[in-house]
Amino acid sequence: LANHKLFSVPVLGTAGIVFFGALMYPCYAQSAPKPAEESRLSTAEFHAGLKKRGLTDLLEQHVKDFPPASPTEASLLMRDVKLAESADQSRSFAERQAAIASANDILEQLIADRPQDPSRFEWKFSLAHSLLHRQAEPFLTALSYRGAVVRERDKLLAMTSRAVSVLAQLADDLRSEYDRIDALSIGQFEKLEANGYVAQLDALGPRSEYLTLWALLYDSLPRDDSDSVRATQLHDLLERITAHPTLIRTPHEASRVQVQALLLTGMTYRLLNKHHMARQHLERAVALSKDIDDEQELQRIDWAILLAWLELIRNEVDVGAYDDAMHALGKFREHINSGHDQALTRQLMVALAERGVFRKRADTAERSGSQDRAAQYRREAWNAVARLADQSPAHRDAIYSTLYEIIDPKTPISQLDPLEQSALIAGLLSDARKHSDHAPALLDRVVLVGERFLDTHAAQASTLIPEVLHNLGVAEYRRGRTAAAAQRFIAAAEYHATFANALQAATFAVQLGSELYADPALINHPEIERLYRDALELLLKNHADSEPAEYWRFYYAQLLDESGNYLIAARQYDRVGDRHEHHLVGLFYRTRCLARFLQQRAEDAPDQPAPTEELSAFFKTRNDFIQSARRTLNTAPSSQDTSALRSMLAETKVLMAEVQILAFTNHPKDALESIAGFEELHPDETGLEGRIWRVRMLAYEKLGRLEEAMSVLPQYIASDAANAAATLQNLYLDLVLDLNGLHEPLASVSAANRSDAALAVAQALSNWSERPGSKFAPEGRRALTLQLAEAHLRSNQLDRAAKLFASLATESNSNGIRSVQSAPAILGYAEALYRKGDFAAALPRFNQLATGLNPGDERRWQALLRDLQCRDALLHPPQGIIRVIQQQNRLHPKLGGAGYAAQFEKLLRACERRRDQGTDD
Amino acid sequence: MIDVTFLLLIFFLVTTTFERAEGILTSDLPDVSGAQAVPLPLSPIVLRLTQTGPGHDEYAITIDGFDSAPKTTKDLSHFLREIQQQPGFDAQTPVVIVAQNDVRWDHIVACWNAALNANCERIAFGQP
Repeated sequence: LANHKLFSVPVLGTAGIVFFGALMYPCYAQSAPKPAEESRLSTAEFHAGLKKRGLTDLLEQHVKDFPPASPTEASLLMRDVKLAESADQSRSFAERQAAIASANDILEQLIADRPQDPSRFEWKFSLAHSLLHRQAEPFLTALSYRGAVVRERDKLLAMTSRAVSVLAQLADDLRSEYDRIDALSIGQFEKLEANGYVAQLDALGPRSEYLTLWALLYDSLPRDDSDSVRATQLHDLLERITAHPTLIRTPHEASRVQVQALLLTGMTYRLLNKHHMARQHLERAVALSKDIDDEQELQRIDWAILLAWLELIRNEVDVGAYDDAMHALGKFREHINSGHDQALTRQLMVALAERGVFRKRADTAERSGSQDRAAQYRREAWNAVARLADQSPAHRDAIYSTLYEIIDPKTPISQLDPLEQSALIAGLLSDARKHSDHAPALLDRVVLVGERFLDTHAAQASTLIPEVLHNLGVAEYRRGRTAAAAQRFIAAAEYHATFANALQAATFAVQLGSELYADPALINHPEIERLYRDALELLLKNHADSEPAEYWRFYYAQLLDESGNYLIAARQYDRVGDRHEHHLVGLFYRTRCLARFLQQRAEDAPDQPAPTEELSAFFKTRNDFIQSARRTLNTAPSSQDTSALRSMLAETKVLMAEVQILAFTNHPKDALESIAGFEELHPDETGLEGRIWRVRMLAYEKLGRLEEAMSVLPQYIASDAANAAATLQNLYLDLVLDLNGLHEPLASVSAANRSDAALAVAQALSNWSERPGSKFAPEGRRALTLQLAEAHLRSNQLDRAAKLFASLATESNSNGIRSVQSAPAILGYAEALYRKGDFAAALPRFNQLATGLNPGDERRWQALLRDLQCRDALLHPPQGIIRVIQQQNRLHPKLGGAGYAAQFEKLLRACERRRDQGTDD
Repeated sequence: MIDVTFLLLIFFLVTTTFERAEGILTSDLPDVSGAQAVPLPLSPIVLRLTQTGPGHDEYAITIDGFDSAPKTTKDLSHFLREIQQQPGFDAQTPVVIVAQNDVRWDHIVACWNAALNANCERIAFGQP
């Protein structure tokens, strides 16, 4: 660097200055037009053509296959190839960087190989220029405009240092060449002057000096404040500028570098902490730029004007003049908004500058102990950029890309603002897509950052929440955590009012939910069903008219159907559009749902009137389906789905029969006809056999043909063992419904028949529960045995009843079940003993219940009455019985109801008679 | 609290007259006599005591199956004697005192004494 001091060039004149402008643009040698034939055969023209068309690979191959005779020309040509590659925007950033590095290496090698070549001065200049303005450009731009920490600071420093070194060599070389020329004779000098060599050198001097100034500045930027080279270079830079005052004094119209030179000077002063001088030069740069009318020139120096504004703001921030910084920022914003070009990058530049001011302000507030103000400034800081991001999704993507690029990977997550965290999440996701090898680690980091975001920023950055949730969903899914992903998507979709991608999130959630629901390994997982349902409901509720909702409605209906919500399912099937691929199937499912709903209703509320609306809907839907299905079968009889369609058609007959035997329809004869029709038309549909037997058995029962009903009972159980229990139980309850209580004799022959039929059903149920392989729970088996015992008692088969009740009562006792819980067994046992005339054995059991059960329990009154009746039968003293009845009459005047009261009264009279007659002892 | 419980225990030990066992070797008796041993299913007189306020005398007495009840334990003996005169009731009818946990112990003791004064022969405590 010391050599720079020795570097001497002619005082920069106006003629030299005009070359500066050309620095920013590549120069191409102009040559006279050649004849057409010569052009066609010219290798140079051919190469130029290839280069012009971007065929750099072909050009490279051609140069290798047919190298020019001169090695210098070959090297220069290969450098051209590399430069063309670096300019090819279709290549990746890394490829373009590699190409420009390669081009620079070629030139450097050429300089080393041909140290005395007359073109070496231009080569060195070109190399330095290329290093700074091509190879280092992206890093310098990031550093200068975004005010960010450059990731590859060391790389940048290597490039800028190399440029400084090359320029120093050029200065030495030029000085030596001038010394050599000074030593030439006049004749030799005139010869050199005549071929333009001297003029070339004279022109190169000021160009290289100007480039050196920028090289010194750029080389200082990536260096730390503690780096001594930095200060030395910056002072050197100031000395050079001071030595050439025309740089900043010559009007821009004449020099075309005045604004840039003022910027350079201002930046240098700022870096040396001479803020007053910095402000002076930067303000001048900005002010001068306002006087330039030439649009082309303004465009050419646009970069310098923008940077001058930024440096001006930064300079105010450096000295803590935040209000002045904000004022300058306002002016900068005006400048951006008033210009023709209001591209996002320019808007972002202002926003990032504003963020920088607020962040510094927050730091200052924090240091002074004002935490609230610091927090407020930090919010303002990220809001400055967030406002711009909120303007459109395209803005957000571009801003995220920039933020992601400038986030230092070493910064702790907690120190990133919400927008940066959100951008980091999006960027990591994007990287995970590109780099599959690192995807797991990147996705884990997405989850980590996302969860941290939700924990810390949910309140203050609510607008970003759905987006973060959405991205978390993507990350979770890509990590194979489908359920977690679906939950994240559901949470994101909840923000349907404000989140642009809510429909997409809801659809993703549904798709994932469906995937999980269909997974055989996850069957009978209620949480999975709930997840799937939540997702479907969210989609259908918030995006009812959307295409995904149209498609998924069928599956929502199916889910409801499968979970037993038949009526709601039927309503959803009804809304499945005509063009849906499963429309016809949906029609059948709707018919079936309505039938199941009607069956359910008949079982749950047999005394309620018929639900006419649903009943009509069933008949209508069934007809619609039959007509549509027949049309389909007629038009495409051989399609692959016809088999399923025929089965559905067959099932509609069974559904019809099932509806016809319900309590509120009660058309058992029609049901039998429907069944007969089914068997005639669909003899091969054996899968519905169980349901056919069931309908037949219930229809017979309803028609009072109990023997026939009982005769088909075994077939029914055999054909539908898995589902027989509920039907048989309902049948049993139906049969005993109109019979008298257990403790009353049966009133008629018909009642006796029903009682016997009930016994057969109870026996079948009991057998069914104890069949091999039955997984019936012990409690259920016990209930069926109790029912069987009661059926025996009702049919007056007292020994069998007593045996069954005794076994249950014993079991209850041995299991430690309290008498209240085993009361039915004890009561049944006692009743059987009583009817058999074994009053002594019955008494203690009745007594146990009469004294143990609550007066609110009807069985207590049954037991009490029987207790006293046993005593009467055993001729116990009537006074005791009278006393109990009198006491109960005082305490509970209703005596358990009118029926019991009458019997107590009757017993009381009998005992009073016995007492009065003195027949008891 | 422990002291109060202890005092109550002492009091009951001193004052309670336990019912004698009804007999021995009942299981060896003939069937009819065995059946005879099954006690009559008489209902006890259930006295319920509840604290109605923080004050000492803020309590209430109710008797299951009876619409009215004495307001204080002082009138309880008389009331119980009247019940004993009704058909189905006598001094042998069991009396069960059911007191809520927050009822003061002296009210419970007063109830017990009232039942004793009414010549009730079978007095017991029940779970609230």
